[in-house]
Amino acid sequence: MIKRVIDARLHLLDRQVLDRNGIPISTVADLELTDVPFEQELTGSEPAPVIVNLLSGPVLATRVFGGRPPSSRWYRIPWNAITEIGVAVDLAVEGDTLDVTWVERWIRDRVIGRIPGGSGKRSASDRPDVRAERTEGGDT
Amino acid sequence: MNLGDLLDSRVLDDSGRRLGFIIDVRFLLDEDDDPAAEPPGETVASPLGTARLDSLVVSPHTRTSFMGYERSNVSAPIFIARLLRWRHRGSQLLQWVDVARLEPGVVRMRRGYRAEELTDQLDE
Repeated sequence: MIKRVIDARLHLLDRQVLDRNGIPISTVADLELTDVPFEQELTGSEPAPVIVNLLSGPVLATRVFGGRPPSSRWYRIPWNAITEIGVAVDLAVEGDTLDVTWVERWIRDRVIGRIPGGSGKRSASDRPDVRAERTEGGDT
Repeated sequence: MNLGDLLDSRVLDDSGRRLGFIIDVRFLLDEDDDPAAEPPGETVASPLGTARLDSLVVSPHTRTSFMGYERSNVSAPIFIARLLRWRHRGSQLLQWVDVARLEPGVVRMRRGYRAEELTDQLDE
């Protein structure tokens, strides 16, 4: 039974990709399909291509000057991780588990996390309950 | 193969006559696919189903498409809708099974290929 029609450029390309927590992780730059032979006669009996991965990567230069990034430069989000296609593309996985977010994770862990106060852990004096206790105890 | 290998390609019929450019590629989400029929080593089933290439949206005059006006019943704003429909006049839907040959930047259709008018089949 056919559920739905998807036009790739209209419904998928350039859409924002959200992980399972609704956090934006990427946009869809291209789609990877199962292979079809180029420069060979097709009989029509070959299986139609299906979408295998959403692709994201450094496409600014290739969109301006033409061509496309080499296969090794693409970050792949598997099609089976998608739960919904709407205004954005929703995934069933967390962004941290995908290669496409490695730059953000590297900067978070190696740069931001080493700045005092940048680790995401709150000091005791920042906690509202501690501040309230100090105020009640006459701590000024 | 990437989708980008198909988009913007020229489409020719079996005699070499130009039919237009691929402005979009239509997939059908098919939830009842047999997983055993998938290519070995590739798992492509998802909660949405398998997205199988069905047809090519071909426009004779332009390589671009804007918000799908040429394939929907949206009629507002009226001037934009009329302009874009005029720009995409003669656009058609060509079945993937009628593709005879793929070359870089060129898609050749086989003799007797089927062409459908674009109709409002979209969910949105």
